[in-house]
Amino acid sequence: MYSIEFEYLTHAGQKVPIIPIGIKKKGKWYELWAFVDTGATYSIFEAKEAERLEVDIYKGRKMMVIVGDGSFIPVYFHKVIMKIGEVEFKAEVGFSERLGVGFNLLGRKDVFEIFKVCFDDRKKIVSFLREE
Amino acid sequence: MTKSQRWIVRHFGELVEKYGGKYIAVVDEKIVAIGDSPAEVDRKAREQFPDEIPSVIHIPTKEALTCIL
Repeated sequence: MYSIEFEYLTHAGQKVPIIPIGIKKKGKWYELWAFVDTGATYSIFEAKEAERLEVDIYKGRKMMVIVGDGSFIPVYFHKVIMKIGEVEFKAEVGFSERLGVGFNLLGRKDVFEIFKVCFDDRKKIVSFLREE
Repeated sequence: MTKSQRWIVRHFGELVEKYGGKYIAVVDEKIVAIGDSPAEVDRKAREQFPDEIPSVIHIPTKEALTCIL
């Protein structure tokens, strides 16, 4: 069993499960932070992250994804290697210029399939557990 | 978590007050670049610390934080 705990980020009483993750693209590792969103099927990053990762956003698989206000936004999906704690795995993440929430979203696809994710709001910790 | 990641967690409140809406890059528990895009701050950080992977985070604004459902 592998497990890692991440402390929530806190500001003025707000506590948010935004965690650091690694992304490998074209042989190079990058570190970014993403909101762990159990309500999101897909991991969707800000389009600006694609520029950093040297990903041509429009070469990805396009999908229209419904968001919280009921509207659809275009998302372009690309394959990457993701790292959470010490665990590296293949993942498909989307990039969108219309994300508009101010942070990246870490959704369930590919992530929750290999980790059990446990939120402890009292201790302000989110745990990622992987059973061998 | 790495030392720099823990530093971000510990100082997040101050970061929101000072840098809300900006991207920052942190290496060795220090802010080494501030800017408007992750590519910009990543490049500046790696120029200074070519052997390190900078921790790049988009600091949310106070308004964005209060609007999280």
